[in-house]
Amino acid sequence: MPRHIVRMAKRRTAWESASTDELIQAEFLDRHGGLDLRPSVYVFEAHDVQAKHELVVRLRAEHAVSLMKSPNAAGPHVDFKGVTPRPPEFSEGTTRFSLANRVHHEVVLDDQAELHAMLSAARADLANRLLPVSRDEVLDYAGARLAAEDPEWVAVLNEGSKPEWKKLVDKHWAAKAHPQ
Amino acid sequence: MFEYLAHHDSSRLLAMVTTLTPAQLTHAAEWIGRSGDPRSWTVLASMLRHPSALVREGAIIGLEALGAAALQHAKPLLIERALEDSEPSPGVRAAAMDALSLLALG
Repeated sequence: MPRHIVRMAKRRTAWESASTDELIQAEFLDRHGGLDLRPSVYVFEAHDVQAKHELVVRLRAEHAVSLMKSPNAAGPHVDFKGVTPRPPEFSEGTTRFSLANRVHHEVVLDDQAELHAMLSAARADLANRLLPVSRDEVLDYAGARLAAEDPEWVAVLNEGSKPEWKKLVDKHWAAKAHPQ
Repeated sequence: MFEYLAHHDSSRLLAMVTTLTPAQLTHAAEWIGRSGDPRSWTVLASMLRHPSALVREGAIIGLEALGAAALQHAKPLLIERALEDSEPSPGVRAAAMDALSLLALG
């Protein structure tokens, strides 16, 4: 099965940037403004395109609800398959979900030149690497997991620490149940 | 830094916008929205016509963070950003559509 190395984008437009340097500035700085030479990725296998998409939606939802205040930004995410200088190293994730934590890895890079080379290689073949995920798909997934009483989702959304998410998931599902 | 300023010194955050690169401004815009500063809407609305798609997307995310009233007030500008005739970036169009969907949810 193909092994995918998926980077979750912070901004949809970052990969539209005219230069790799701007992409680095927008997406690959750590919270202190330094270069992120251990960028996070999710590594998984999927037997076909549909299975890959479903896993990306799930991982996006788990990643975003754990680490973001609201489900604002969403993809497109990028598959680094074949362009990392070495295999990503396992690094347990810090999400609230066992799957996302289990498949979380880091691409360990020596320096800015190596980061630049990896991103330039991905940009050269970008159309085949983009993995778009819409916010509606994320909200659909989150609502379905809540409806199924998935304990991980119930714990995250019903404990009160993610009010923006809960409100939006509830509204999204109410609108689906009663379309105007 | 933007998060800290949003919580502790939103005036300084707003004053910084002219000094930042687009790659910085896209993230600053989100925190300008999160600051809840009453001057945020005007700053974010002006960013919706910034030459950089990164900044325009950041402005949309900032307006979402600012709240439903801010989004409603920006609706004509968001529609402009959602249309192919007036917005060249697919990423900005998608973000604007998401914001308009959010508005439609009420």
